[in-house]
Amino acid sequence: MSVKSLLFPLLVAGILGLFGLPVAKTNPASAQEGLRAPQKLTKSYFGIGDCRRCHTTPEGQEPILCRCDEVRTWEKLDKHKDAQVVLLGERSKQMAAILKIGDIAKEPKCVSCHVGVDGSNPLVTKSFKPSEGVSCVICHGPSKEWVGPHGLETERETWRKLSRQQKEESYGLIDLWDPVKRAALCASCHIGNAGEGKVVTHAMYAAGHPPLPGLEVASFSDAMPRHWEYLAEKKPEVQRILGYSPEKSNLERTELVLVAGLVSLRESMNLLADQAQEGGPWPELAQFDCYACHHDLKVKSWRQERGYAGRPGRPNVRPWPSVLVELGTFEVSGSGMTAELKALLGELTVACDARPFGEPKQVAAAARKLAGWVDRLLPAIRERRIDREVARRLVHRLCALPEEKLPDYDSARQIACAFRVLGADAYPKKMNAPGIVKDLTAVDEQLKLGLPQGQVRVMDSLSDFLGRIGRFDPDRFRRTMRDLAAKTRQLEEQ
Amino acid sequence: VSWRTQLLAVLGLALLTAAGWNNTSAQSRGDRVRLPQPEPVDATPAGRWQGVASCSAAACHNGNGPRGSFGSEYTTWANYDPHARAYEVLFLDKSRTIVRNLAGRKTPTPAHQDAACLNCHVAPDFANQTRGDRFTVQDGVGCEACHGPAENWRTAHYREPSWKKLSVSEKASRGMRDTKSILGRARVCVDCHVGKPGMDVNHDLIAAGHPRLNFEFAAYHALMPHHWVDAKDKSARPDFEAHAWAVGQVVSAQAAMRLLEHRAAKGVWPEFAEYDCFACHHDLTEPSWRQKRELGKRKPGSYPWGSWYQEMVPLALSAEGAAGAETYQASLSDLRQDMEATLPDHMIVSKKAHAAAELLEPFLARLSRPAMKPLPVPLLFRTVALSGGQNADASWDRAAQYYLALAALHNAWKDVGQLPIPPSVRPALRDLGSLLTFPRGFDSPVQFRPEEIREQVNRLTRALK
Repeated sequence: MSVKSLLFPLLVAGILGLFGLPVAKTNPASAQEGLRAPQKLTKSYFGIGDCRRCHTTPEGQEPILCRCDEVRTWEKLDKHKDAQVVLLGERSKQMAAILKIGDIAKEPKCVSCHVGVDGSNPLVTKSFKPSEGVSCVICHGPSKEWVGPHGLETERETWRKLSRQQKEESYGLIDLWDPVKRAALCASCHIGNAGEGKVVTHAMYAAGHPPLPGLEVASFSDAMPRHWEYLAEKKPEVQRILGYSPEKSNLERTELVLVAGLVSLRESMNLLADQAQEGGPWPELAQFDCYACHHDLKVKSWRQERGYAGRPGRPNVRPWPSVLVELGTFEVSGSGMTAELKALLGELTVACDARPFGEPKQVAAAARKLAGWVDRLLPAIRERRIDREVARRLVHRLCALPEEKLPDYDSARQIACAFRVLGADAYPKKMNAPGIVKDLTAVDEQLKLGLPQGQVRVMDSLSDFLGRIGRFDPDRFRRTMRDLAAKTRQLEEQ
Repeated sequence: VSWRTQLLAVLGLALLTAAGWNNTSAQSRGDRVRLPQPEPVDATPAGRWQGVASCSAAACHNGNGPRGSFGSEYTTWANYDPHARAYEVLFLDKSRTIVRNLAGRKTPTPAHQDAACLNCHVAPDFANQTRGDRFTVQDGVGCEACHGPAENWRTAHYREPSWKKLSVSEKASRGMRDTKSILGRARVCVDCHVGKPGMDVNHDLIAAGHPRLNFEFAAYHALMPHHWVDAKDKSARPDFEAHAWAVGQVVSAQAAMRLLEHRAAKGVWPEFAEYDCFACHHDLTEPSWRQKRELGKRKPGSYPWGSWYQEMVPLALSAEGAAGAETYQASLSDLRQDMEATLPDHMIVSKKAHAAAELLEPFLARLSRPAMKPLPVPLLFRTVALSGGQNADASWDRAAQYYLALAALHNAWKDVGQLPIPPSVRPALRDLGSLLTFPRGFDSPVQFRPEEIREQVNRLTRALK
């Protein structure tokens, strides 16, 4: 490690002190002995100014544990930084007029996701600026207790010895290395969370909110783009400190796809249940499959030719969150659509079919059951060693999904996103074989797997995105995946 | 482009052919499910059904003369009328898809054996009707489906000298329905084409693959291959087409209200078929004209009701000089509020729909008496045309009803011959019709743009100044 990098945290501590920032109070004695866990956590929202000094090293700077350029990446490329700014744009004005909202930038229903916390909240410190959008503190944890110890030269060595769990429980640094927690955090906005007031309603969509695309956490993370490295990407000495071993540890992205697929189902079922339960805002049309209704009617309708899981004409819930869960069941039990999963999903279909927009009590009960099922399955997944063999098995399973059930656009996107991630783990450095690249280009042309980054505004890419949904041809997608299945098998034979 | 072609294009009527016909009666008899059994059908007149063959003697209605000529009623029907293929279409792949989708994982009863299909595709209350030897389902919607089961009038209507002197209700008591008056005809059509309990094309059925019903009596009447002498209709009253439009509007609206009353009380609820199909069924686009329009009282994300059968009714009532247009309008607005809630209260809706249907009764009763005054057609055309400025551009349904009304009134205007029709009226109407035609391959108005509709409405308005 260079001298420079060692000096850095010292410098930071000084700056933090100068600004009177939320460095946890620790007495000098404890600094020598190491850390003493704070008595309690003080909830506090601070701005990225507090993070920038350390996490924006000059280019070419040797990284320490972290890359130290997180803020730069985030500020340059990440759409989360614009989350609040968009509330001041033309589309938001239109939405405000239609929804009869006075000040959209202060409306809790909007701010809950577009900032994370209302600027008038007493827990907000002086450095916190809503205009910074979804900033560091929102995901990493609004507590002052972890800010000092994690960077101060005097406390750092001890800090590093703490477990992830200790850091979270005693200091309030959310353990984003845990894929379940990470996925749930992303899902709280990207799917919704009624308890946290993060809900996109059908009225909001009708007023002009862009549709939330199906969430695939590993791909969405890459598209942010990531301001962190997976453990596998870090230097050996850092891997040692963080307890990572290439031989024993899991393939992180494959694990993330598996876990996040399940978490997405759990979170969408929880949201569904919260809204369908007694006293909930039911029927909330945003819970249903958008494109089951929203499609131009064609003389030759693939939906009618494909047939329906339940009764025709009765909207069902969004299908994409139940697509990747089959990877999890497959890994644990060797069968994708297990009898239990089939029964649980069937129960939800029956509840939704009982009448148009479903029987809310039945819907809520079926949704809770599915969420509980995910919670029971997750530990089994976490216990498994996820290696290349697993990734390969999952790639094959994934390619078979469209053969078993013709996917809609969002479901196809789940499959394609997962394929790219799992493929890279299963066949390292071979995914650029010309045949595979050709198929993936075709898939991308059908589905547009990328997400807007940097200067590209979400609204500017919306027309293109919606156009692809309208033109989506599930049969063509199925053929492409069939071809990819054959090509990946060839890779194994080589 | 002829009016006929243009009307067809707008209505998107699938002219049903016998293509794809084949016999599937030998299907396996496994675990069959029937479609949800239809509700009992009300008011089929008494008497056994005799079958088309009992009408089609060469000396009677099968004169083999030109289309529409006297004595060739059967000939015209058999050769030109899609009603004659109504049973055959139940063998099309499309029909198989429908019953398969409705049956879910079970083996469906073939459409041609299912009472829910046969009630409209052959005869109302098919399961309970009694049939004579010569009756065959293969005839589809035959003579008696509209004229009434003929057991008690078949011989009488050509043998008994006094038959022609019988009143409509005397004939009805023997089973013959009134198809002489416009009111009688409209009432015959709406049973299937709007629907009633037991004969309900609801959203389940549409989603399974059945075409949406968007019946507009004047247009359907004009398009149907006439097996009667046209000139008789128009010599009796030159404003025939205008009258047909107004009567058709009111009869259809009443049938739709009665159906809503039933659906809300007993049917699948909420019943999506009550709403503007294209309010939901459109690709999402950016930018979206839907987000730019005024919603009025409607909440964002709710769906508009009554756009097809109800919006023109107050105009139609006023056209016929009937009192109560305002009352009906008020009851519509009231019901609309209930219907546009995300989950409408079904009992309240049922009650209000019943009351609204009753409001139309006095007008219809008055119509059944003869000697109503001729309609002031040019004035009526103008009134309807100018009404387009209000909300003809709100949706395809609204614009299409506006267009169909003007098409009927335009034809009537030509027929009555009073005052010249301003020359730019017809091209404006033609362009409006083209705007409403679905693009090839689509069953929905993919390219609908309110500003384009508005442009044609303004053009009409200018032409009539």
